[in-house]
Amino acid sequence: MMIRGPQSRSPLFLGRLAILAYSAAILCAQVTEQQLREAQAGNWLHYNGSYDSRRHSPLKQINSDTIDSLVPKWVFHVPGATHLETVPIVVDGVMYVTQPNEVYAIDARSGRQIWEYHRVPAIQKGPNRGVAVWNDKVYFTTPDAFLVALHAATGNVIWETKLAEAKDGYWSPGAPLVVKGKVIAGIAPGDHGLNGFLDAYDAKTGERLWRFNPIPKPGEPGSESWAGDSWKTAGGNTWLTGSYDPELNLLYWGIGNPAPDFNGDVRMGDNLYTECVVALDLDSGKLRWHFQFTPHDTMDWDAVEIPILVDAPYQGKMRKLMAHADRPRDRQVPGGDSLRPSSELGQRTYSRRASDPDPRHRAKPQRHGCLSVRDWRSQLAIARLQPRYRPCLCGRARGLRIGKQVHRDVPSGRFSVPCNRRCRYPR
Amino acid sequence: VAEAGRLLYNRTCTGCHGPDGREGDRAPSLDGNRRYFRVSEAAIFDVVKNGIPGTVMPSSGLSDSDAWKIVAFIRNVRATASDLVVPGNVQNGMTVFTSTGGCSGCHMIRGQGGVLGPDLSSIGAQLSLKKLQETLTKERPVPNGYRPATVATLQGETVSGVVRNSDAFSLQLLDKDGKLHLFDTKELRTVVYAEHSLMPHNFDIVLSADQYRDLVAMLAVQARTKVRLRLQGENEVGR
Repeated sequence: MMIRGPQSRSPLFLGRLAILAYSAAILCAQVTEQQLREAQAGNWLHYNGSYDSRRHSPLKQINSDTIDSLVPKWVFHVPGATHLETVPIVVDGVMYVTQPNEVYAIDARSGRQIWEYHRVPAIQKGPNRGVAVWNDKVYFTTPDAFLVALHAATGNVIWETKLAEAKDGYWSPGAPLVVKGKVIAGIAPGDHGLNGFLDAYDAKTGERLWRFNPIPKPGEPGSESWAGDSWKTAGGNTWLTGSYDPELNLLYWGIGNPAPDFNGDVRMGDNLYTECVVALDLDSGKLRWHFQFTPHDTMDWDAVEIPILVDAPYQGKMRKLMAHADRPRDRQVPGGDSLRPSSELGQRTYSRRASDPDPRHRAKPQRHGCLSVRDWRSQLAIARLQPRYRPCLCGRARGLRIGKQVHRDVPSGRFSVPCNRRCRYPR
Repeated sequence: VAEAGRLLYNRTCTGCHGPDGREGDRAPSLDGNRRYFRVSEAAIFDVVKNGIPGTVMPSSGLSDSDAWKIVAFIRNVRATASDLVVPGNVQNGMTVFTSTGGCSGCHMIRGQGGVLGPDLSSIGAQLSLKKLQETLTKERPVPNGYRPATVATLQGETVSGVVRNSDAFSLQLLDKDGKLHLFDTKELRTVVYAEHSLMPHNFDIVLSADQYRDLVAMLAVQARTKVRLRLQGENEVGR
């Protein structure tokens, strides 16, 4: 359903701020691999806008001069919506928006609906964060933990694949990522002690190609970071969308909190690979490296935030950098023996076991929380960003509002990270 | 049981109702789409057995066993195609769908086929057998979203397809290659709608009797959802 604002036809509006080109009919064509990689202006083909997750549009029509003349052009009411967390995906004038169990294709210029998909029978669990597109298909994950491929022009179901058992409590709220004909899809929730995974599916057939388990089984590398049987109900889910570097053919994905969230006593150890960014080989799903932001997290810091990939000069050399907005640790993390938190006024440094033989693991500075930049080849932290403004970083800040808000403004080189000053933990 | 019920019904009830559940001289059809029908077995049984006080619907005086047979028959009459056992070879029907019949040029079943016409992956759960057969053999109104049209733009471009959606300001057209064209009506010189649906309705003629039967049987079993029709209960009138 659409409500057309009375101003929408005013010459003033059209003259000053025609957001979408009115030149010719829009033809919805197939989304190619190259388009996905280039992430041209005018389309928004990924949940994060581009493979490097810059979450920033280079379009210039909306700026500080035109912002005051923005008026509603159309309104699309998503029926029965409660909290919409969908990122609208736009392909040549067709906009795809979602809510749990539902996908809507909308004519982005007029707001008219082209098709809708409803999953029946529907398990009611939200939110849903959006679709991925590839070729003539639209991919979508569901509250009953299915990955569904729909025809982009009609919403016809092409295939559907079960990610995990919904009756066990699994569901999938995140938007998938399509890379080189593979649909990468994650799962939730780690809070219930369900072990996460990250899957790759053949975009044509829905066949599973690989699965990465963030929680190592006994005997696998990292399993020593889980005491006893605690790895069995360990969490570590993948509920936000990650990034991809075509040059290195690596996927970067944030892994969520360990379970139980706030009681670390029953899972002594560093709890790998929860609270990590992992780099996975796209073709095999094998772990190349990881970086753990919070070993043995007992605060539900949930390091799923989207890794932003930046090629930028550092000390005279072009480096491949990653910026990751982790939730700031403003207090020493209480918890198990393996932690040796240290806090310096205004710096909030934090270190793990002093005896850790790997120097890279020894110090994890987190100055004012928000962003850290790393060379993602060597994994070394090379810079911590000082936020220009720090309204959010009060001594008791809850943390970043984890979500889809980190973005990078390419020309200015600025990162912006909205934060949520919600002082959840008592001082 | 349903067949026994049909014979029983035709013997007992056709004084008022029409044969095979159709409309009669003095009483309504039992296979329509009325929303106030009794839907539960118990409610239908009650009416067959006891009539509807205050109307001309009498109590039938049938035994419980016979009344249940009629209930089965009425439920059968109203069932969607997927509820029924439809004779025919489903596998051959799929062959007809994809080759001889040419259906898959426009229709999709479980991800295979064209996109110009409606997806039929759940068609057996959507239509009664009778409607399903009529769709294949009779001219029917063009459903919303599938009206064929040819549009000409001010630039002189001409596109044909089905109009998935339109209003005074915009028009969304799906062409024969499955591509969407989104138009602002200001860009259009003409929109010419076709009178008839693209759907052929002579499958009982162009196909052999066996092929037609198999095609119907195949379509009838297409039901993606296993969810039963809503649970029956008393007081469902006006549901």
